[in-house]
Amino acid sequence: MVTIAFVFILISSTLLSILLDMHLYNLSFFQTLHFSLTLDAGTRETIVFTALITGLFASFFLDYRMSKKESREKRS
Amino acid sequence: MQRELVEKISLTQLFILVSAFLFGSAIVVGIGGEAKQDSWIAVIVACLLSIIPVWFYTFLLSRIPEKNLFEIMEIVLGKVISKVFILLYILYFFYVSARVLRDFGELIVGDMLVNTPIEVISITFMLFVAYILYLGLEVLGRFSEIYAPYLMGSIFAIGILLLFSRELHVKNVMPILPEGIGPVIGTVFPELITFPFGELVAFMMILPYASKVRYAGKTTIFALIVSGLILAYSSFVQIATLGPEAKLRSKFPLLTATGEISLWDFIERVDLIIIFVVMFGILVKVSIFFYGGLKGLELVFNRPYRAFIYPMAMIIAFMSIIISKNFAEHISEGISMVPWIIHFPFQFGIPLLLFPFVLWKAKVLKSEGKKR
Amino acid sequence: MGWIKKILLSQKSYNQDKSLKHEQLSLGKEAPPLSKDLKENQSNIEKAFENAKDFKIENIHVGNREGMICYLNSMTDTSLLAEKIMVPLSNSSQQDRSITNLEEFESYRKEFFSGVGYHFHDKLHGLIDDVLAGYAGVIVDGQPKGLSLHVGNIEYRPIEEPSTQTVIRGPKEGFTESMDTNISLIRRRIQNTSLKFETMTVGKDTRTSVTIAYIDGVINEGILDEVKKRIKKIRTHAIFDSGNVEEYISDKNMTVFPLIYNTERPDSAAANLLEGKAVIIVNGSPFVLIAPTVFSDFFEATEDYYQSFFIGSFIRLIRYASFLIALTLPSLYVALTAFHHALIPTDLLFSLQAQREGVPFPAVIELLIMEVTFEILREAGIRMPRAIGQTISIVGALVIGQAAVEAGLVSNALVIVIALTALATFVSPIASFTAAARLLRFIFIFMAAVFGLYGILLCLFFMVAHLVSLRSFGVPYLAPIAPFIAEDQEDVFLRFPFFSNKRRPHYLKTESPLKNPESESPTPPRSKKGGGS
Repeated sequence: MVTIAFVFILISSTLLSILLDMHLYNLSFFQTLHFSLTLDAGTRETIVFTALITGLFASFFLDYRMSKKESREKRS
Repeated sequence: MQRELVEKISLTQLFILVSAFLFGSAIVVGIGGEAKQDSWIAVIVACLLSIIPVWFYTFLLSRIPEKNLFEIMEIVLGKVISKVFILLYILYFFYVSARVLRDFGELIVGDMLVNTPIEVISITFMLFVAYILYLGLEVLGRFSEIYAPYLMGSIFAIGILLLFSRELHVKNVMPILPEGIGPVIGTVFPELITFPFGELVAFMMILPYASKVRYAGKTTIFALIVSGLILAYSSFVQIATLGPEAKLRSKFPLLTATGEISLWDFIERVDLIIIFVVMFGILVKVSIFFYGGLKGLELVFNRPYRAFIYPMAMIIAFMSIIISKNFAEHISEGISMVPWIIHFPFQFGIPLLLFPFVLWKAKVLKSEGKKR
Repeated sequence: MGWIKKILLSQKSYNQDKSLKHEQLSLGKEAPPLSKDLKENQSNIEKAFENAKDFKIENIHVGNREGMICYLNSMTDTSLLAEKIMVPLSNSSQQDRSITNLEEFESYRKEFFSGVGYHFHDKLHGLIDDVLAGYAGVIVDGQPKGLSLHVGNIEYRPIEEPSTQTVIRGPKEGFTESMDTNISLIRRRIQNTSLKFETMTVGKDTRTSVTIAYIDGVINEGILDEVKKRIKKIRTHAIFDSGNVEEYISDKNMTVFPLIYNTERPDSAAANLLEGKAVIIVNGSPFVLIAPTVFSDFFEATEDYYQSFFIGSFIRLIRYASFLIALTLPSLYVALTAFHHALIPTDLLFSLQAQREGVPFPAVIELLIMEVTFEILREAGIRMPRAIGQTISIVGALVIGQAAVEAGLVSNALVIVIALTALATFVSPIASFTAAARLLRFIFIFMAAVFGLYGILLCLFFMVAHLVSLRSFGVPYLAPIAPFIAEDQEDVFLRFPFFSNKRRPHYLKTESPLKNPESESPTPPRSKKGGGS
């Protein structure tokens, strides 16, 4: 569930930001997508995406732990 | 002894949270700049006007007691439709907290740590927000109690220090209302009423957790008035120091104003210390929006909200970076589009839409209660 | 909550296991009951105390019957033994008293061993436990019960001035290792029947006595129950100091802040008892524990209350300031010299930079070198045999001082920073509290080196959030400050005069909230009509 939430929120919030940018710059959707996701020269992509990926892994882990817990509770 | 299952915050804590929430990013980016020298009047007007929506929020909450906004939606609209609205609200809350975080990141990078990349600031800050929310809302309340005196104290100290540095020029504020009330109203609506005051909609997630719910609404409104006046005071100080033109041009008017402080050749560059205060306001604001979103996720995905904290914190950090290319875009989005497209529907649209349903449902619940 | 269940289950099986082993240990090997036959008892006891050099067993005549007395001469006072037991015994042999049944045994004890603490035992292990605790065991042939008589009076360190929380003005007695002495030190200060002491035995192997002292009718019942419950829950083999107990009963171990107060001063313990806290005395430790405790307790010295409240309040503020200095000064130095030159006044900046001219390291490394040196020096100063204590100060002064500067390793300003930090660290009246500042300081330095002022602020935020989340026996650790309790402010940052301090702290939720409701200011009331000549 956490993973689903993670992916859902990530995609939809990116979409939201892209829609706003589209409106602001009068660009097409894909142009804005490309434009938004290429980060500034000063930004360090590795840090940004590492953080995001740790978030993803954390949600995997949390899901795994919770499902394990649930199944154990069912058994007992 | 065990931690209580239901988290509670006292009225003092609620008061502080509301004030810090309102100061939050409003004090960083400066508000009401378009009203020129009358921006402080605009702030007061907006503050007084926004009593109405805030009263409306508390009224809505009081109809179905001890439930937060999302739970009310679930009761009133049913499981399926409410989920759509809740998800939209979650997006809204996360988006706004990302925006607030961006404000803060720009501030740190622009003024304090010139060579540090903004994402590092975003991520470290979100880690802290995640930590404090993991500890719970109660901890956030108590945490704010410790920092509140510094926040209030330094906002007043800025004015006094500026006064002693002979940087306050009353001529900057004159003339009062040269073009009538028009420009003031133009600033109040839609900008000021949605940001920062309308954002109090996030407190619809917090108010039911106040220890004395009956007085929570009154406390919120009282805090709103007090912090509106303080914001107006701060705005006044900024104009009197910088003049309306410089205030409008400055990225962070409060910091620019405090930069003018110079006393006995020793008290200089106080602006860096002000960041400490600002950081606290931002923290409260991000945390409350984030908490609101997390509570929504809890309801939609049926998992304890603590499970979502870390992944979602990383999303917000990520969002705060991709939200806009640069500060100019960030601010222009904030002024031209966000109030209309984002703030308006969520602050006024959906609550107003809910209103008749809530009234109806409350009646039904009441009659059911009587039957029993 | 599956994992909790798992832990609970494992705990349960462990408990059963434990009680079994416990039985075995206190008996040596087996647990036979007391028999009527003296020979059998004697051999059983001798078997239990096999190869114990300090164990003494003598055959005696008790009331015209064969009997035996056994004791550990390491745990008993031999003169007391002679006076209280041996002399009455020889007196009794001149009279014609016989012990044929239990009543006669009892009346015999009343007549000859009066004024001595005693227990009757029908199980051998009970008797042996008492012998181990400094009793003399008396067994009479034909009697199903054994008598144990308290003759324990072991030599302890005399009452001395406490070596940690010293005062200029105020009582100079300190707790000792003997629990009885410690109890008497408290009792002497509170001569009141409401003062209660409850003793429990903790530690599978050491069987250490732990006493909980409290004032009945003042302490919150819930807190008291919690204290007792946690002490009963301790599962360990050995307790040597109150520090061991502290770690077992703290709310949380993953914190650098002490959640239980410790003191060597009986007056401090007595005062805390009257505030509504529980005092835990561990046999063999001169440090008693006080629970629950809050953050501000660690900034209060007993001396604050013995001198004028102006100076008391002032010194308290100094303590808070020095805690902040100890925590942040080194990191501020790093942040300012590395990132925020603008915050330093220009002249100072020039002189700082001039000093740092020849230093080959960045500020962080420079600082870390000196910090670690200082910690080493401190540790050496404590551990070193007293006789060579002189050396350390000489060497230390050389290392953290002129030599390091002259060698170009560090700058002069840094030496000041380190010295001030070190001084500020030791201001807190409670030594265990300084650990927090000492450890956190390194995190602060590290964050300041990476993020500058922002890093320090972030660290402070983390620290405060952590502090706010802590609880000591259910009481929020930052209690009168957050949650803010206006009525309790009279004794936090400032010490208000006694007459205005009428209430016990609100956060302790005491059973009787008022402590001295009738106290009045000593100043005579000013009457409106003339008054005085």
